[in-house]
Amino acid sequence: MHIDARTLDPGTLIEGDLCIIGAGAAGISMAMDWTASGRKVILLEGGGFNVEAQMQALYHGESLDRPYYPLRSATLHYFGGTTGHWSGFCSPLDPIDFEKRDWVPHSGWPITRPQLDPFYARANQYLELGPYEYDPAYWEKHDADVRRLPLDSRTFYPKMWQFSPPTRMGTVYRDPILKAPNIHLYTYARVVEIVPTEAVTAIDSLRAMTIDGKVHRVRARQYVLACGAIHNARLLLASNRRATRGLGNDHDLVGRYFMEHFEVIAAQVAFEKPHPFKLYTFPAAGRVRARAELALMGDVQRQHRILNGTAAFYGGPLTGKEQSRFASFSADAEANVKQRQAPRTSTGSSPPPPQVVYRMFTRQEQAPNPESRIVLSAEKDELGMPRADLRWRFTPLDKRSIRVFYELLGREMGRAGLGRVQLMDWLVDGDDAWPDHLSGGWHHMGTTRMHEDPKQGVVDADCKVHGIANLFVAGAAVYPTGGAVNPTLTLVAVALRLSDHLRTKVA
Amino acid sequence: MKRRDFIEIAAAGAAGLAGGSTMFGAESDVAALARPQLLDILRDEDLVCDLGRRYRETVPAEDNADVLAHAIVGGSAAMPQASLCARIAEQVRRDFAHGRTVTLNGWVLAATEARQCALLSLSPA
Repeated sequence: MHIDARTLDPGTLIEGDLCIIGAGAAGISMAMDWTASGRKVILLEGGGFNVEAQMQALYHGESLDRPYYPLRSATLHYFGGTTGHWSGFCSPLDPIDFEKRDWVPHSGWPITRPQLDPFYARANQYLELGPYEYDPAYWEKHDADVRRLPLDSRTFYPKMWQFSPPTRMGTVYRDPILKAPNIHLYTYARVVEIVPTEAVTAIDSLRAMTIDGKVHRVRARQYVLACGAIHNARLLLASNRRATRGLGNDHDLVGRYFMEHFEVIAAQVAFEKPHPFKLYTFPAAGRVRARAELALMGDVQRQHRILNGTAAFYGGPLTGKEQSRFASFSADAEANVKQRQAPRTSTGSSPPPPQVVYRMFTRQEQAPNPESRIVLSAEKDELGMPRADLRWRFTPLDKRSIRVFYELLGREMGRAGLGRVQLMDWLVDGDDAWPDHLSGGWHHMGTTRMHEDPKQGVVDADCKVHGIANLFVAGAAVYPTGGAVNPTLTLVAVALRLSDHLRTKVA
Repeated sequence: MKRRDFIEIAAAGAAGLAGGSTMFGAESDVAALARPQLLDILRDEDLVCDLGRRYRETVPAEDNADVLAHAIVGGSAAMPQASLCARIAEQVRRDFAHGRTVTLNGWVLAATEARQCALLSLSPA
C-alpha cells in the first residue's frame, strides 16, 4: 500500500517490523522479497513517483578535488532510485574481487563469490536478465557466430555481461509493491535523522521529514539503510546528536573509501585484418542480450600486482577529441531521465561490420583509499540536513594498473599475431596525471565498507553496523572493493542476502 | 636515394654481416630486415618511420644501420633453412611472448620490429 507522507498529520508515528530507508535498487529488491512474508515492512522514500527538481536539489553537493558528475543529478531521489537512468550493464564480481590481495591495501571481503552465487541468480531475475550464465563458453555454444579472439586463455578471457532492459524498478515493481498488503510505502518521507538509544547500541526511531516541513517518527524492530553510498554515509554522519562523530563512526570510517569505476578511453588496437566481433559488440535488443569485454585472469593480476579491469572495443581509431561525460552530463535530472527513458531509435539488430582499428574503453576498479571520501558540508539543504561533498582521490596503483593492462594486451596481441596496441599519451606518462576525458560510471561504492573488524569496516559480514544491534546497510556502500563491473547486480544480490538474514531477526 | 633502394642496400649490408653464409636466402627475404610487419598493420610508412626515429633517439647506441641490422639478424640465426622473413616474424612473436617489447609513441612493439622501424627510418624520405 502507498501513503503520501505529506498527507499525514504532523508527528505521526509509523510502526512496523522492518523499515527500509530508500526505495532504489536495493530497497525495492528487499521489499519485493518480503511481499509474502506476513511482516509489516515500512518502505520510506524521500521523493515521489517522478523525478522532481525540488527533491534532486536535496542531493546537491560539491566535488571538492576533481571533476565529477553533478551530485544533484548523479543519483535519483524518487521511487525506483537511480534505476531511473541506469544503462543495465550487469556482470558478477570475479572470485579474485572477494580476496584479500596483499598488493591492494584494504582489499578483501568477509564473504566469497560462491556464498553470493545463489543471490546473484535471484538478482538476475529481479533485473530481468537471462539465465545466470556468465561463462563465455555458454554463449559461444548458443550462437555459432559468437567467437572469442584467439588470445592466450591463461592471460585474457572474455568477461561476459548481460544487459537488463534496463529494469526501471520504479515502474516494474510499483504495482506489486503497492498491492502488497504488508508493504507500506511512504513517499515524500525523507529520513533526516537516525535516532539511537541513549547508549547508542540500537536504533530507537527515525525522524522523517516531508518537503513541506512535517516531521514524522518511524519505529521498527530492524532498520535497513538503502539510500546509496553517498547518502547512507551522509545520514549516518549527520545523525550525530548522541554519537557525536556520527552513527557507526567510532573509528572514523563512515564516508571513507568512496570508490568509483574509472571509465576512460585508454588505448587503441590495430588489427592486421578484421575479426568476427559479435561477442564483443553491443548486443541486439529484444532478446537475451550479452556481450564480452577483455579481462585479465586473476593469476595475471596477482603476478603483476594490479587491480581488476576490463576493456571494451569501440569501433574506429582515437580521434584526439575524447571527452569526459562529467562535463556533458546534465545537472537537470529530469532531462537526463527523459533522455535515458526515451525509446531507442536503433534496435541494434545486427552487429556493425568488423573493423581493423578500435578504441579501447577501460572500466577498472579503484583501489580502496581512506582519503577518497564523502564529507559533510557546512551548508545545509532545504530540510536542514548537512549536504554531502565528495573528495574523490586516487592512488598510483589505479593508473599503473590500467597501463600494465594495456602493455599486457599489446604483448598478447603481438604474440597472437592479431595486431598492435597503442597506449594513449596520458597512460604512458607518470602515475599521477589523469586525462581530461576521464569519466566514472555513476557508481558509488564503499562508504560503509564491510569488514569483520569494527576498526576496519562500518558493517559486518551480515551488513549490520558494528556496535548497533538493529541497523543494517544495503547497497554498494558496503563493498570493500568494487571489482571491474557495474555495481547493480551485486548490490541487489547483497541486498537479497541481507534480506534472508533479516528473516531470522524478524521471525 | 629512394627508401626502396635503401632497403636493398641495407639488406645487402646485412647479408654481408652474415659473412656470405647460408643463413640468408634470397635478396627479397633479406629485404625483410627493413620491412617490419607493422607496415601491414598500421598501413602508414611515415608513421612507422617516425616510430623508428623515436627508437633511435631512445637507444642512441643503435642509431646506425649496421648495428641495427646486426641486432635484428643476431636474434634469428638459429633457423638457417627458413626464410628470413619467417624467421623475423617468429622472432617478433617470441619478443612479444617474452616481454621483450619497447613502447614508442604509445605503441607496444617487439624489440625486433622496433629495430626494423629504426632501420627503415634511416632511409631518406
